[in-house]
Amino acid sequence: MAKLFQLHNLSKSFGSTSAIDKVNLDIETGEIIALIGSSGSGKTTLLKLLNGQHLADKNGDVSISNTPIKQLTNTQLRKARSSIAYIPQDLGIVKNLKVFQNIFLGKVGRISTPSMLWRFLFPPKSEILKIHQLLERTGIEKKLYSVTSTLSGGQQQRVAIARALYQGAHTILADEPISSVDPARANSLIQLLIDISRENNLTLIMSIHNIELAQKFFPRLIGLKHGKIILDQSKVTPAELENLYQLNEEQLTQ
Amino acid sequence: MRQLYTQQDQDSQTWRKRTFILSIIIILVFCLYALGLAWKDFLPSENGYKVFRNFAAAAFSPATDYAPDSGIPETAPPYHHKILTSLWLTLQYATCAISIALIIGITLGFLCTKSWWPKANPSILIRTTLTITHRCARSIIIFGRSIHELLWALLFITALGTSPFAAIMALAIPYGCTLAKVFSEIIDEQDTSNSLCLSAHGAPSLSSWIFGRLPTSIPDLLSYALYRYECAIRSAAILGFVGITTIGYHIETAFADGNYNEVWTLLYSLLILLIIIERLSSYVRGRLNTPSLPKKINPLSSPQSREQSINYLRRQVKKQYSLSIITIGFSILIVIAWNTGEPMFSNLSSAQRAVNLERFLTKEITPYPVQQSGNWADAIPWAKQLILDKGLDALLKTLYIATSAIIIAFLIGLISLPLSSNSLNSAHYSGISLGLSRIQRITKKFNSLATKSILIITRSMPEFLLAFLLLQILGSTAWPLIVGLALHNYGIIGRLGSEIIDNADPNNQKVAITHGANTSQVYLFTLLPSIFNRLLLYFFYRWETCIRDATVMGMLGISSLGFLIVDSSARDNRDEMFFYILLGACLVMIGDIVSDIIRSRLRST
Repeated sequence: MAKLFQLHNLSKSFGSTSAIDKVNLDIETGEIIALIGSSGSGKTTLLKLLNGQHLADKNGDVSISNTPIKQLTNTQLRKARSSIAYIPQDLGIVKNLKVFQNIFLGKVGRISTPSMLWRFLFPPKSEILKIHQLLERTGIEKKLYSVTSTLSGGQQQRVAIARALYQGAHTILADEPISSVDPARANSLIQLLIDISRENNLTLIMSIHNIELAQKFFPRLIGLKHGKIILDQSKVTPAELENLYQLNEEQLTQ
Repeated sequence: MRQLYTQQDQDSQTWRKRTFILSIIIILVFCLYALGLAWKDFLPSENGYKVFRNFAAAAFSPATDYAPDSGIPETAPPYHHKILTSLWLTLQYATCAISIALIIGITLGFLCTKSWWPKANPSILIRTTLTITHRCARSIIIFGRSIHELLWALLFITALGTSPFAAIMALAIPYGCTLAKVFSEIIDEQDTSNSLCLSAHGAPSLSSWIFGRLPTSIPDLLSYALYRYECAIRSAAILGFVGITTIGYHIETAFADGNYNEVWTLLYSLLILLIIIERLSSYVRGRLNTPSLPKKINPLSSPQSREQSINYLRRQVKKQYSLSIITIGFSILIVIAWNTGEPMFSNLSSAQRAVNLERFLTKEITPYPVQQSGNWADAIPWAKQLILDKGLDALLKTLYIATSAIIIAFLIGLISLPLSSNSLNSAHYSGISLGLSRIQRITKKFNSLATKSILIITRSMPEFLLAFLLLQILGSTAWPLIVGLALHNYGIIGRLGSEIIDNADPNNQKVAITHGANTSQVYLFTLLPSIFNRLLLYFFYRWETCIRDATVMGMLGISSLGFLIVDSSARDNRDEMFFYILLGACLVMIGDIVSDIIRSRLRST
C-alpha cells in the first residue's frame, strides 16, 4: 500500500520545551490508528503537525504522499489541508449556525469565499440532500435545520464527523473526540468513526485516553511519552502501559 | 503546596479589592477638595428650594396645552403637534446619524482588526499596505472619538451654520468611530478555535474569518449597534443646547420661561421614546442569544422519501417574524428620516458655504499671532499662555469632575447591586428555596422593581440634561455636573452589574445558601469576590466615557473645559475655541489609553 504520511526525524519544540522529539513513522492509506499517552505527551502536537498547523523544527518533516510539507507553497498547503479532516478537541463548530451550515464549512478550503456565502444563504437542494444522507449515516438527520448550540455534546460530535465526511477528505485526524461523552456513547461514536473510515477507505488517526476502547477497536496503537514514540503495535501489555503512563512526582502536580 | 499558593492568591485578591475601594474613596475626597466643593454646597439655596418645589410639583401635571398667557396666536398648530415635532426631529437626526455611523463603523472597524489578515507569510507589499491602512484607521477612530458630539456640532455650526447637516454629521463622526472601536474589539475577543479549525480545513484567512469569527460575534455587534442608537437619540436631544431645535432646545427654553409643566411633558415624552428603544433592543438581544427550538407539527407517516423528510424538517423551523418586522421597520424609518423635513443645508448657497468653510479652516481656527505674522513659531508662546492662564486649571477640573462622578456612581452601584438583580430577588436561587416569608418576598419584589425603575430612568436621561436640571436647583457649583454624570453612569453600571450577577455561575452561591447564608451574605461573600474584576472593567470603561462627557459639561456655565470653549466661541475667538477643543481631545485620548491599558491588564489576570 501507498505511504500516505511519512514522518522523518520529526521534532517540534515550543520555546525550551520539546513537544515532539525525533519521531520516525510511516502511515499507510486506510490505516486505523489510535494515539495513546498521558496528557502533555505530544498527541495533539503530532496531529497538528500532520496537517501543517504546526511546522516542524529544522532537519525533520512530515511528507504527505511523498511531498514534504515544508516544500509546499501556501496555496499548496491549503490544498493539502482541504483533503485532511481535522476534528479538534473543542470540535471547532460554529455554535450559532445551523447544522447544515456547519457541514457546508467542511468544504471551506475547496470553494471560493463568495460561492460559499451563496451556499450559506441559498442552500442548493442537491447539497441539502447529500447532507441529509450524511446525517442519516451519523444518526442525527432530524437536526438538519437546528441551531447547533441546541444539540447535545454527543450530537455536536456527530456534526463534526458529518462535516469531515462532507469535506471528502482522505484522512480524519480526531483529537480526543470522546472525552466528553458517557461510555456507551463513546463506544458507538468510535464504532461510527471506524465504520465510516473503512467504508470509504479513509485513514483515521485518533488520540484517545481510554486504553480499553483503544485496544478493543484499533488495530494499531502508537504510544507517546515525552514526545517520543515508545510503542507501536496492536496490543499493549500491562507492564508497557504502566511505563507509558508512569509520571514522576513533579508532573503529577502540574 | 498548591493549597498554600491559592490561599496566598486569595489574600492578595482581597487585599487588592480593599485597597481599591479605599483608594477610590480617598481620590474622591481629593477631587472634591480640589474642585473647592464643600458638602454644604450640595444643599440647594433658598431660591433653589423654591425652584425645586415648583418643578417637582409640576411633575404631576405635565402640560397638555399652551400656557394660557403665552400669547400664542389662534392659528398655531395644536400643542401635541409641537411636542411630537421636536421628538420626531430628535429621532430623525439620530436615525440619519446612526445610518452613516454604521457605514463608518463597519468599514473602519473591519480595518481596525487584524484578525482577518493572512496568517501565512504574505508578500512585503501586502503586509506594508495592511499595516499602513490599519494604523490610519486606528488614528482616525481615536481622533474622531476624542471630540464630544456637542463640540463637533459647535465646530460644524461655526463653519457651516445651523443646519440638519451639522447636527447629523456631529453625531455621525464620533458615533461611527466609537462603533468602529467596539466592533473591532468584539471581533478580536471572539474565541479563535473556530477560525483555527477552518484554516485547518484549508480555508483562506478571509474565509475562516467570515465563517469562523463573524457568526458568533453578530449578536454582540447588533446589540451594541442598537445601544448606540439609543445613545444617539440622547445626544440628538442635547444638541438642542447648541441651538439645534431638537427636544433639548425646547426643554431649555421652557425651563428658562419657568414653564415647568411643559418641561415635564417634554421629559416624559423623551423618556418614553428612550425606554421603548431600550426595551426593543433588549428584546432583540434576547432573541438573538436564545436559538428557537423546532415547532411541533404532526409527524410524517412513515415511510417517506428523503425529500419529504427534508421538507418536513424545514417546515419545523420557526420563522423569526418579530426580528424581520423590526428590521423592515427600522429600514423604513431610515428612508423616512432621510427624506422628510428641512433641506440638508441652511439657506446659504453652496458657494457661500464653500467660502465660509474655507475661511473657517484656513483663517479663523489659525492661532491669532500666526494670522498676524504668518509664522507658526508664534503659536507656541500663544498656546503656552492659554494653557498656563486657564487651560490647565480647566483641564484638571474636568478630570476631577469625571473621576468623582464615576467613583460616586460605582460606590452607589456596589451597594445597590443586590437590589436590582433578578436572581437575588426571587423566592428561589437557581432552584434552591431561599426560605422567605410571604411579606419578605413581596418587599423584595417591590425593592427590586423600584431600583430597576430608578436605573432605567437614570440611564435613559442624557447626563447633560440631568446636569442642566440639577444646576437650576443646586445652584452654580460643580456639584450638579458631578451628580448628573454620576446618576447616568450609576444607571449603566447598575444594569451591567446586575446582568453579571444574573449570569454568574450559580454553584458557589448555592453552596453558601445551603450553608444558611442570606442574600446579602451571598452577595458580599460569594458573588462580589468573583465578579469584582468584571465590575472594575466597567468602572474603567465608564471612567473613559465620563472624561469625554465632562469636557462638555462646563458648557452649562461651570468653570471647566466646556466653559472655556463656549466662552471663547461667544467672544468669536475661534482660534481659542479650537485650541481648547483640541486640549479636551488630548485629555480624552490620554484617558482612553490609560483605561485601555488598565482594562487589558485586568482581563489578563
